Amino acid sequence: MTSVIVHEGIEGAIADLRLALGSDYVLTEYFHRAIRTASAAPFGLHLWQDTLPDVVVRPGSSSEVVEIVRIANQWKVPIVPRGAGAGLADGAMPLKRGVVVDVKRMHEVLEIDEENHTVTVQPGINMMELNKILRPLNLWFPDDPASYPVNVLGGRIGTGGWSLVGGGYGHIPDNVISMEVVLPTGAVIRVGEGGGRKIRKSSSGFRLKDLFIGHQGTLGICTEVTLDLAPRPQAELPVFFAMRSWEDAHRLTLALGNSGLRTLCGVFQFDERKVDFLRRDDEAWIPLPEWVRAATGAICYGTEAEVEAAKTIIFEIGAAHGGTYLGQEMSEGDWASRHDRYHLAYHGRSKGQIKLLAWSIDDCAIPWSELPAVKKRWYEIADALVAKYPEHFDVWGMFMYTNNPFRPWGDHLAELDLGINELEMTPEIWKEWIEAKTEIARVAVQHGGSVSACHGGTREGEVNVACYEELAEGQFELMKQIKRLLDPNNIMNPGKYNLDEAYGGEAL
Amino acid sequence: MSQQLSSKPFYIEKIEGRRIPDPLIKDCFAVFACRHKFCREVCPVYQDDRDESHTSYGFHATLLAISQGMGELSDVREQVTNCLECGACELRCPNTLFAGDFYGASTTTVDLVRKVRRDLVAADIGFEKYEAIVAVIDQYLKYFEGPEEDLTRWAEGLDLPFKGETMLFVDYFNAFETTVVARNAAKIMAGAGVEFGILRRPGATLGELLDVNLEAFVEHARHNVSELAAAGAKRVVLINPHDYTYFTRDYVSHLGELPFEVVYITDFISELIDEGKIKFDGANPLKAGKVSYHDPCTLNKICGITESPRRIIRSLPGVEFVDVSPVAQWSYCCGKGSASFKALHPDTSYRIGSKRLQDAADVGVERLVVACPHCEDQLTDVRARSGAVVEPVHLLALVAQAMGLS
Amino acid sequence: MVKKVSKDGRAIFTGGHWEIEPSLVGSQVPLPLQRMNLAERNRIIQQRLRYLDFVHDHFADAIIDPPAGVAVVSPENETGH
Repeated sequence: MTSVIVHEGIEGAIADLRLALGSDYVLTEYFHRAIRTASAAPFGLHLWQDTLPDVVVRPGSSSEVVEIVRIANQWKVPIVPRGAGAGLADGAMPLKRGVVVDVKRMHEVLEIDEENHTVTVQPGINMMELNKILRPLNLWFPDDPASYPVNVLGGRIGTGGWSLVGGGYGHIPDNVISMEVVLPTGAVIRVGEGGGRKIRKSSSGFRLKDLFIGHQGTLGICTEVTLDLAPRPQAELPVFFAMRSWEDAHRLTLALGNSGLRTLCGVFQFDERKVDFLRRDDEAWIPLPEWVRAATGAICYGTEAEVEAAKTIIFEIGAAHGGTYLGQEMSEGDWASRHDRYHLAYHGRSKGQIKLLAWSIDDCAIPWSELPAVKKRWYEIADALVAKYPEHFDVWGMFMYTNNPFRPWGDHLAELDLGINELEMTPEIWKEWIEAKTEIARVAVQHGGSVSACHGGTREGEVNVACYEELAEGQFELMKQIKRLLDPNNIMNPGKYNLDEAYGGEAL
Repeated sequence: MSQQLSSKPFYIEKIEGRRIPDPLIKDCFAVFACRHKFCREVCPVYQDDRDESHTSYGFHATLLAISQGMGELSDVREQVTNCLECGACELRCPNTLFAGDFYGASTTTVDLVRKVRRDLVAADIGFEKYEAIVAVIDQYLKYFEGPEEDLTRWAEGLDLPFKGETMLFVDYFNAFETTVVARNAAKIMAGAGVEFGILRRPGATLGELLDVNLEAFVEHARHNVSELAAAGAKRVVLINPHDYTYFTRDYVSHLGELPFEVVYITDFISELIDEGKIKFDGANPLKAGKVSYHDPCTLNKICGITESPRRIIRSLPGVEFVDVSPVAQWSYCCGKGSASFKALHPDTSYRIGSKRLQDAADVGVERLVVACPHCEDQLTDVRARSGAVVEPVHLLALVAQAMGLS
Repeated sequence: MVKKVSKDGRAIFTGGHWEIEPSLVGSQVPLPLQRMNLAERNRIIQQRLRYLDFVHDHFADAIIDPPAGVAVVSPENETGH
């Protein structure tokens, strides 16, 4: 085991935190801390004790967050903001221990402005709960990630999240209008489009808002957010096509993206390895003929008139590209359960064994034209890993989704799903796993892509590819300078994104 | 009715100190592996305190952490009291909801919380405010040891025999606290021409025993089953949905298949309506106004009985029904909990109940129909303290009134 | 052998008992043993169906039907036409 980090100032910080927040909201018991260590990314159980935070704090207001940051600076202890902990890139994992700032008590809706289509909320609110409140007003915050029933807004912003309907309604960076952010110094800043709270497009000043979206909690903690709201759509149409090959599915995706349909919010593909996995493993799988090798799905939202018209075109394009409709039950059922079916721990194997496996998901952004090459190389890496450690890894295939905000064409979120046997993991196998992930990330960059479309590039292994390869054209250097400028004491989620280098530290 | 067997035999082995039995480690990992926490927003306790240490993920991750060297059993004596045992989390968990039937493996947080409480008691550590729960148990068990007349005083004047092919099982809470519910059930059944009996000396069906003393719970279970069988029961009607979960799940788990059928009163009344034995002819229209229905946690989340109460409400004359989906109600609760919660956390219990009445007010109703004596008792209490406008009313009171019985 | 697929397509009745397709019932279960009977499995199925019905209602009120008479993939539809 590596030696556990000890912060000299932690006892002093805890005493001050208790004075500032009250003892009820400053938690030192083992279980409070253990519960808030892991993110939803693959977790090395053997690393749990090393990354266990020293204390968890649960602020109830912006001013309490400011106090926490002030105390962290005074005592030089790390603070790590945490929302749902459903992120997939370890942004919320306290690498250097310290103080986990759990924002979920701050979950109020502060204002709904129906005329200007905005809602102002605190960062601890869940997107599904927010939409329950907006629904009677016929309004909708159109953010639809896999984590929809479980996430909180602060984490969506910290990761710069992606949405399944982003091809129609944009992703998190497009739907956050303005924010109040507590900087690592404790200063409070308002960022947005220019200075207006509810302005969507401005050319006043630098585009500072973007800095605080996708920063993985390294540049500040948002304490209030104003969001853009869409009218609740009248109609929904999910259409899934069975395809004879993934290549057919891939071409159909391009054709649908080129359709010109404005109500088309997303196009997604199941590749042949994913279909194989579902056949083997998915309890909801309705038996299909052997020729079904892949699938392409499309989702439309809009007025009934528009979606009805889009339907005709979608089905024509599907048929013209060799697609056969998978049926209403499968299309509607799969769409309805899209948030729910992919977090199962139990997995069947072809030899009749049931294993407990956690979910590993890579989310590289890849240009459409590069997907075939990336897919091929990824499977070479993954299959080699599984061949070497068949009891520890499992290949669950790939999804690809349109990634471009507001446009169902361009680049794709290429998702490689693997099962990982965390319970029986060893440090040696974990090391090889990190190497495989690093290679996977490198393939994306080599094909003109990005290590992460939406989770973040902060996972062990791939962070080096993100910083030293993908962002090697001056971006990582500038990131370090900005980090140093905003966080002189390196207290805000230290160690993430190799930003310790900005302080003369070493890379992970 | 269906006898639903779902049990984890490895829950019998006790947790001691830092040692978590191996199968339990795997069981906890099955919940930890997801780390998305579907169990969070659906939990009424989490909605109140926003502390994810009080969720299914929290409880399972805690035990897994102990198995990895972080903490020990005594650490959790307060944490483990923060659970209503309502069943929302274990149902919502994708392991249960999407694969439980397929793999024959589900998340069983309610059983886990009960087990941890019992293990704390067995280790002489106890849990926070454990004495209050023991006091409740002692109070009720005195009735079992006491005169038979006390146990059946609720039925005074109803002339009910102590045997029958149909037996109405009346638990202690209904017998001693919400007596009107028991009397209404008996009058309704008699009014429908059903011949039925009751037990002279019913055993205790206390959820508190599951938190503290499983052996005593099973002993009373054995007593109830054998007494009912001896009385000639082919069919047992229950009027407390907590009991319904015990008879159709816990009793089956510990005693095997029951020698009689078990039916909840709302399903029974629904059958009687179908058979024409209960008619609401409009002669006694209820001026009940706009009502909504509160799904009891045990009936909805744990047993999946949601249709019969709604069917009955819809057939009552003089009632305007505003429905809220039972799935939406997975995240609701009256705040009582399935056993000990109100005694352990009275303030949280009150706030959860207040929120329930407010949610009913938000859909524009004056009355909230309940089908559980605990919900009625709790929401009546909450209403009196909070001054809320929405009035809880038991479904059996409405049925009795509509039949001209009250 | 009589083979019947359950209404939700998730279980197959093969004359004596329900089996979940593909069959994973057997001795190779390196997992905690949970006792679960068919009634409990059915309870879970019913709850899931209720949940899926409820969740349809989330983002839009109307779900548009496919075009009338469109060809659909089915187990009998071997060639996909």
